[in-house]
Amino acid sequence: MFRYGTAVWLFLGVAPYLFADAGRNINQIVGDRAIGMAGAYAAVSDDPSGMYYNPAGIAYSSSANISANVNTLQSYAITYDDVVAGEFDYVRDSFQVLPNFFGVIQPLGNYTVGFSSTIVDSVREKQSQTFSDLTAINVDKFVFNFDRIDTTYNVGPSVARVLDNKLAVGLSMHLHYRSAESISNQHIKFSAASGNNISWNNSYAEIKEVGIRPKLGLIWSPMQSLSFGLSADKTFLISGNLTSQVSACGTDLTNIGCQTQSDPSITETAFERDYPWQVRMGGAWFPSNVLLVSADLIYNSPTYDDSGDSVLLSTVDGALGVEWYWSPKWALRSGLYTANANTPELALGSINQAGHVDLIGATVSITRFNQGSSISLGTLLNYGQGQSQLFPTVASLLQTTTIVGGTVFFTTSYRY
Amino acid sequence: MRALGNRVLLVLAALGLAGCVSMDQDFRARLSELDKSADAQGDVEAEVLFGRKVAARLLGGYDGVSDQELQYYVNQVGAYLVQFAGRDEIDFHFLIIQSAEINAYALPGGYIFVTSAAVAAMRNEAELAGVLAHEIAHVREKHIVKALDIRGVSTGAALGQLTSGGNDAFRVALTQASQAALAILTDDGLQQEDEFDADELAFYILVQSGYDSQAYLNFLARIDQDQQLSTQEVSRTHPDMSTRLSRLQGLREANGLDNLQYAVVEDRFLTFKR
Amino acid sequence: MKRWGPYMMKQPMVWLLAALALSPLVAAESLYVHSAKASLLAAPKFNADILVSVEKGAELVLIEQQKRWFLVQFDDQTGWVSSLLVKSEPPLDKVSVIGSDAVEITGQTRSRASEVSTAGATRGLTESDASTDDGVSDYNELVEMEAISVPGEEIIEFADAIVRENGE
Repeated sequence: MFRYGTAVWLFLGVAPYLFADAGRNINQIVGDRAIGMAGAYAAVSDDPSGMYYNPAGIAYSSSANISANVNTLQSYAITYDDVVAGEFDYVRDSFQVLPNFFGVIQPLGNYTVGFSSTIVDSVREKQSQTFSDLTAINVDKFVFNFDRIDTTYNVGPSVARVLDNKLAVGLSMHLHYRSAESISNQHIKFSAASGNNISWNNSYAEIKEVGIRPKLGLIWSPMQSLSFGLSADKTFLISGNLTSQVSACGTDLTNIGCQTQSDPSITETAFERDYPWQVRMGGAWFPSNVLLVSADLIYNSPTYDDSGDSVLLSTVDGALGVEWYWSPKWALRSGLYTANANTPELALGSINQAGHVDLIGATVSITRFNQGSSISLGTLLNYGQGQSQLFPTVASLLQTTTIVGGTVFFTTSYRY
Repeated sequence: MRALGNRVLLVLAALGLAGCVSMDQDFRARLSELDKSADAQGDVEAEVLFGRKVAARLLGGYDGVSDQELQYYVNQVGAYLVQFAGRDEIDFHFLIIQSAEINAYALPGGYIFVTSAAVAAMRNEAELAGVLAHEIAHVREKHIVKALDIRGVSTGAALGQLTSGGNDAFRVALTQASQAALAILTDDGLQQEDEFDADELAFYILVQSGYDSQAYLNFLARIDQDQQLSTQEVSRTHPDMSTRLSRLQGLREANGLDNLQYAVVEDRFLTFKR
Repeated sequence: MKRWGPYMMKQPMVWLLAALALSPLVAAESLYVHSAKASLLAAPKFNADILVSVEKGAELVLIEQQKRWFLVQFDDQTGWVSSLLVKSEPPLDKVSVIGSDAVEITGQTRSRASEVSTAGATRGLTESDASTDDGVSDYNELVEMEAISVPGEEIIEFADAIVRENGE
């Protein structure tokens, strides 16, 4: 039996990293052609999408200029099993219409230059649930509202150059901007058996970050129809701030007024998290002008806080993509990818553990070409199951967490 | 493990060095960029629509000769020659038009006209084939379309817009382009090099198809020398005959054709010519 | 955490790439026959021996080019083919525009000069010198011209007279 009366639930503010990245290093899959291939793009990258995966690739763009635009309709649901009274599930939904990539490239003498605007991560989660008559734990009503937005932008120029007919090098210099906000509100009305008491908690946190993210890339073609790509980047923060506020009020049987309360003042602290080094390696095989097979391996290093303690673990992710033309005007793309959790696996008996859910994803899209332009329509599905600890101080409680997501994307590109 | 990995890299490196001497990134090009047939289809449609427009305009000024059997015969010769001209995606159409001037016109899209005066000056089917082959060569090489580009009237990529435009502005531009095309055909002529190219291609078409290329030279020489024939227009629109003849003669010699026998088909021609 | 070396060696991708590295990958230009038939000759001259005859659509591998002749390979044969008969794209299907130019065929088949100049004037476009143009197009005659069509079988028959006159 749990006594909720005196427990103060701090979902946020205590462990700000819970915010970050929704616990994974691979988030948005971006780019007109790359998204159909599940982001397996490091050795391809020969169009504007390349500015994000491997800027060296744009040196091999076949056309004068291309601009690409991507619009996506994204939805996912997170279910935390048996959160309330060991029985009821928390369900968190997300729905957003997100233009997550725009890029332009242009050859300029021996160089190719470009500009891109990418949303590398975007979360829009909402939860709104009411549980009533939980007699087993003396609760009449429990209301929970939660809203979280977390978006990270990479915007900036890229430049690439062919070194010789087998090697090209490129650099993207992105401005990193992140804006995150989270609000949670819960209200419990206990039953007469627990004295008709109330427990209320409201917390708010906001993070703003500005930084730069340089990305260096190389593409090497040792022989015809084969390409290897390597790119490395890290986000360096120039400034990061956390604004937070927690209010709570709980009543008890003996006294009047809030017996448990926290100072509702708004505090602002510097919060410059450490971003990992990301190394992306890929290989692509172009056996003919109708088929392309590509695979990427993405490594993200562990990150640490100021005192040297590990905050997030390293991850290794993979992506495999295929593009096949069944006619000069139509192509099919498909891919598989992983987005592994950068948090440790949870253990019963520990507290303040971040959620750990590994995701796998699959994409398929169809593209129509017409004299220099193309449009694609596709879908991306992802799924994962893992664990969370929604009540950070309750060491004995872990929730099985399931994420199911679907995205419909519509992209265009144009050569002129 | 490490040794094995090294060996793999060594193999790859060796193959990289032993691989193609000059390697470019052409393998990256995908079918949508490489296969121009989709674009080509659009271009061909535009060319034929444009050619129709110019042909209609030309027919506004000239009339076809009323001898339907002769017209059909010319189309037979033309259809036979077209097999060797490499543009089988379009239908060629031939017409003899009533005119006292000796000349022939090749319009984009395969619309070819020969004047009645020119036919009157011919002696056999091979001579007719020679003239038709020259015009077919112009269509194959798209000389008019290129010439209009040179003159600054917008064609080319805009050709598609011109012929498909439901927009009045496009229709007027198309009219201007077709006027310019006719002016080239009847007044200014194409570039000299294009004319020499057409002569050379005509020569090849004739040989491929089995006609006697000497017949074409004979025809050109005849119309050049005969003072009574009206050759103002052809002189105005083509390079001088002696240069054309010497080039063609050079081709005959280079290919050792003097010792081979080719067809002139005189009898059939005379039954239609009247 | 995972170690790189053994991890990489276990990845099938590495082996796939190694296997690919051993397969020959030749890049060469292809030509396609556009005429009904094309002959591969022993030398770039019309009087050379005919080695083999190929059909429309056949793919030839380009080896060398000399003016209007290509040295190509077809199956095991190497020979010269006239540039007139081949192109670097496969042959297209016949392009038909009948019925697609509704502007011209329906309604008026003679467009008047006044229509043209009015349209031009209202949009500020100037009309070029019309001395070579009486401003009238004749679509009736054009349609008659297009109606003349020679069937394929007839062309073969037609060629008989030419073939007969050709010597050895």
